[in-house]
Amino acid sequence: MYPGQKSGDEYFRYILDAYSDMIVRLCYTYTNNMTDAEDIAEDTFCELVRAKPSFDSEEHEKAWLLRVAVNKCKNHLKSARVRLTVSLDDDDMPEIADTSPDPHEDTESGRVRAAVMALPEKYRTIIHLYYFEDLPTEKIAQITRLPRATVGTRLARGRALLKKQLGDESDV
Amino acid sequence: MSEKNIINEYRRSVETISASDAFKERTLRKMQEEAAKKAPAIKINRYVMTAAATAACAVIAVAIFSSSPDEMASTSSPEKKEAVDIYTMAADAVPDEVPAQAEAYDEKNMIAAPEEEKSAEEEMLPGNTAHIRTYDDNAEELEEEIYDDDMAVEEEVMEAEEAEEAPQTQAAPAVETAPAQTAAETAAAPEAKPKKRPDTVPAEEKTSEQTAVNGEGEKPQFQSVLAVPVPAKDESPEKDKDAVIAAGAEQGNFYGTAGMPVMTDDETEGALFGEEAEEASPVDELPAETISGEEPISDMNDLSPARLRMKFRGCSVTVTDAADTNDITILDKETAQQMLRLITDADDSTITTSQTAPTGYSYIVDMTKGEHSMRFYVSKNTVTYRTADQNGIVYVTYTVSDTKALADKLIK
Repeated sequence: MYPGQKSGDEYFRYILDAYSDMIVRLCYTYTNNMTDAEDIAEDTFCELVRAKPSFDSEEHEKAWLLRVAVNKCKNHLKSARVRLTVSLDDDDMPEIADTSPDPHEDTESGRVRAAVMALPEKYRTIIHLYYFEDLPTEKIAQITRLPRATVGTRLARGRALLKKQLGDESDV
Repeated sequence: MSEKNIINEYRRSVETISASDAFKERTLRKMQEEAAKKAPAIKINRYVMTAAATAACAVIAVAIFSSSPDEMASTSSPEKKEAVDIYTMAADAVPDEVPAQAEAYDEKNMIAAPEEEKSAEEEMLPGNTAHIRTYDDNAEELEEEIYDDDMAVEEEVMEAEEAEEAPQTQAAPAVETAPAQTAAETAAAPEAKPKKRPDTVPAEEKTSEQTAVNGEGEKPQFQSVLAVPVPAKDESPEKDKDAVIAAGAEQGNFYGTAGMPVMTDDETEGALFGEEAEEASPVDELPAETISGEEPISDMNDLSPARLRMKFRGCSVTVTDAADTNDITILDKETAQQMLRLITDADDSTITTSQTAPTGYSYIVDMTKGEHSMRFYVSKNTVTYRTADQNGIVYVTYTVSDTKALADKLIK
């Protein structure tokens, strides 16, 4: 337990206030679905209670949560439930009460997000962690359990794909 | 678009994604529930029970190895009594001639160890099946095994003797005194001289165990009962290890007694994600609490149409006509989609709850996914969903525009 770490309900509230946005956003980059992202994020926080890990610092705490969330997202994508799911999001299926942000909103940022979400998952997550969470490649390598060089390569490739995609769109 | 712009726009767009207050409240409640479940008393009890069990085993083991059969028999502990019974039975199987035979060896400065010198440690030598089996519950099995081992050794001896020349058979001592000696053995070694060792081997260099292991000469008969090695020649360590690993892998025990980890492809893949976090995050197939309909709920957020729709992707639907009890199971995408539409079309404001089951419904729709299912009562304008809260079962009703047409379509 690092100095100043709270406990009990106070700790839970602190964790949710401090990290829930971060975890939900990360899960969203994996699942591209707000409901699934919230479910995984919820499970990640419950895991914190179940596992009761001991943290040396807030950085350690943050890295633990990110890593568990990444693993849960990967498990989610691997799970039979997702693989065997038949999508019901056809045109005749109305988007009712779905609070997912619309990635196709007609703005510049919406187009950028849509382009990021269109990237393969292996590039998407790294780009998110690098550009949005401002994590260095070394930390990303620890969280994703990838070699640092691989993280660098994926970052460069993802960036190139993104630039190409958005550049092409701009031309259009 | 420049890279800097891309980053800025991406940041701006992602910032619009945030965890809702409802999510925070729901998660906080779940975390509190998890914390309540994780009662420390359970952990303490587990440790206490483990320690107690270990201590009990140690006491029994000490009692068995340090007490004579008579001392043990004086106690009334069932475990000890059982051990005494088996021990006594094994001891009874020793022929009466053995001590005399051993004494005779001593008189002639031979090296067969007297019975009383055989310590527990010696009896624990690898392959001493008889001693190990004293832990077995089934005394009859033990008896049969001793008999089988005895017969197997005798057969081996017979075969060896048949293959060997006559001078070798002369080296066998105590042939006539062995009570379990078969007629064939006796016939195979008619000139064997009892109580005499072969001249070529200095007597003091050979122990009774050595004679048994080397197969030279006839071993004292009691060895065939208490100290006969199990047929270790067939059990190579590699063979054993493979068998243990295979058995462990079948049972999902990846660290068998051989101590060698065996990982399936899935495990290997999982290991790449990190041991610590992988342990903490098993594959979440389908949370029961959101789909069973029987788990307590405390707010209506858990029942939002979007969540329900997501949870019921890929489920199977069974429709029962209230008038006609014939069930129709429908698995196709179109039907499931339309059924879900009944719910997702509903406005949150039209959701009402009741403590009593609905009446006047036309169809019962059971939506099933794996072992979880939810039941919906469908009438012309409502879909009622059965669930539970702190007060017990409640029925949550969505008011929808018109379900008749859909229901008619479902029951073709």
